[in-house]
Amino acid sequence: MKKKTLLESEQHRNFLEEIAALPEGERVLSCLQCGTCSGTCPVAPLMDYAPRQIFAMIRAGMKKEVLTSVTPWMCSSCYECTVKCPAQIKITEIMYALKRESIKQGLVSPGTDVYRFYQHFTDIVSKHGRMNEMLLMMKYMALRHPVAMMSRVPVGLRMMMTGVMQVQPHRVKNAESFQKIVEKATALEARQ
Amino acid sequence: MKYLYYPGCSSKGTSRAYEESLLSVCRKLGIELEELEDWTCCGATSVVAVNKVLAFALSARNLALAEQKGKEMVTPCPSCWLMLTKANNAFREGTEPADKVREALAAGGLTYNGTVNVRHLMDFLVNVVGLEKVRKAVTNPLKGYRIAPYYGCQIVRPYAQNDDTYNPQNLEKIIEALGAEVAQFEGKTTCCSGALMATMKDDGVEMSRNILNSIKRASANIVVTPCPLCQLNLELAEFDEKQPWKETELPVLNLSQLVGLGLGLAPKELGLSRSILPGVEKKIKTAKKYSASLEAAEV
Repeated sequence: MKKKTLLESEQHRNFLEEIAALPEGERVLSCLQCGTCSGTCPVAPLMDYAPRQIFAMIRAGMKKEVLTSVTPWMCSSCYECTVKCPAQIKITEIMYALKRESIKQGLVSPGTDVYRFYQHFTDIVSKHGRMNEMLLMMKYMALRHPVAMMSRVPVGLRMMMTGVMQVQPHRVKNAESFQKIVEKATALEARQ
Repeated sequence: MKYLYYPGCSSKGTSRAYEESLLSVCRKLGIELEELEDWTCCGATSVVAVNKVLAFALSARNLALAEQKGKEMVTPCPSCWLMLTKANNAFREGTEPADKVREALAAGGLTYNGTVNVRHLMDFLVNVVGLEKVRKAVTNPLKGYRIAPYYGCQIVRPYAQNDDTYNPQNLEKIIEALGAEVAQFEGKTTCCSGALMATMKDDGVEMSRNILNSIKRASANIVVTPCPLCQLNLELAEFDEKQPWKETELPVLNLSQLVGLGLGLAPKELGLSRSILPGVEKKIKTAKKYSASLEAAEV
């Protein structure tokens, strides 16, 4: 950890309660700090704080540090920690909740832009109803990762050749009803 | 009996071959499928990271449309299956965010009562169609192949449908029903890196390569996976420009492509030419010859 001392004014004493009050957080108070989550996590090496540390930091009231961490954004949703946690904490769901919370509070980690991928994914699905893989990769990579995009040209061409690259975005038949569902769901999410 | 079919977005894009082979296999087995009309994305692991109510509403919308048509729905994608199952559980158990999702659905003139059963293709083949029926339909026994059952993560976690979370067996059962040998390897339920392959490619390639290496150590000559994203990611790792494709790379097939081979279906019906790796069809043939020569040498 970069920081050695956490001043009282920097502590958010009720952060643990806030997380515990989430629908996913019911069992977070029972965390044993055993480290099974960190030990089983296949992406722990990519995280700045492994899952066990995140739970210790939640308990210590380190709200800003947790929400600006890259950890939740590295989670690949494999649920290995969730099935193995002896305290039955729904860790994967808490990682999702931390992602959403960091977006709401404007604290998304500057250390990664995985967030943009998820946001573009959501925007494409909200607009077209189905995913369009090429559109998603273009939106995610064209401006921010042009070099990486160039390196993917060979595989892109191969996919064009085999006919698996969908060009035209999908159109929902009952678009009016679909859009109303999206709008309502988005409004209800914002109200939480 | 007619079953509803939920393809999932990848079936219409990068995983077209999964849909092609699935439809061919079901036709051959006499199973009637009806694609869910006007289905939309399930939300996968991405929407829930941004908007939870929307993620559940997307899945619930599909369930609501399905409810008007029937009770049993099958999907080839573990991620779709998991999201639809999570939405189903929320409705059946009345847990959060079911109320908000109900409200969102109502805005679009839909209701869902929690009556649709969603199965993944793997569970469907083993427990609805039945292995006996698959075994009887085999015209091209896959004798001589050593096949690695790579489950990926979401098909067994957090829920394993009629299987074991820690040591699943359904793929092994299917491989044996097709007359092939199972190549047991370490990490059959290890994550392939999922969406990280798109956002952090080098790390994604490394994760998928570790799995492939463990499969190679088990002397497998074909990999089978029930997940379209696992298939794509393993293939992308093999195709990675930093490590150009070599003769030693393994063909990675999806579940219905493998079953289709055993049922004697033509490569075209199974979409084998759609693999990212060139020449998969030829590789499958050579793999068999190689195994046969080994067997002959042993005798």
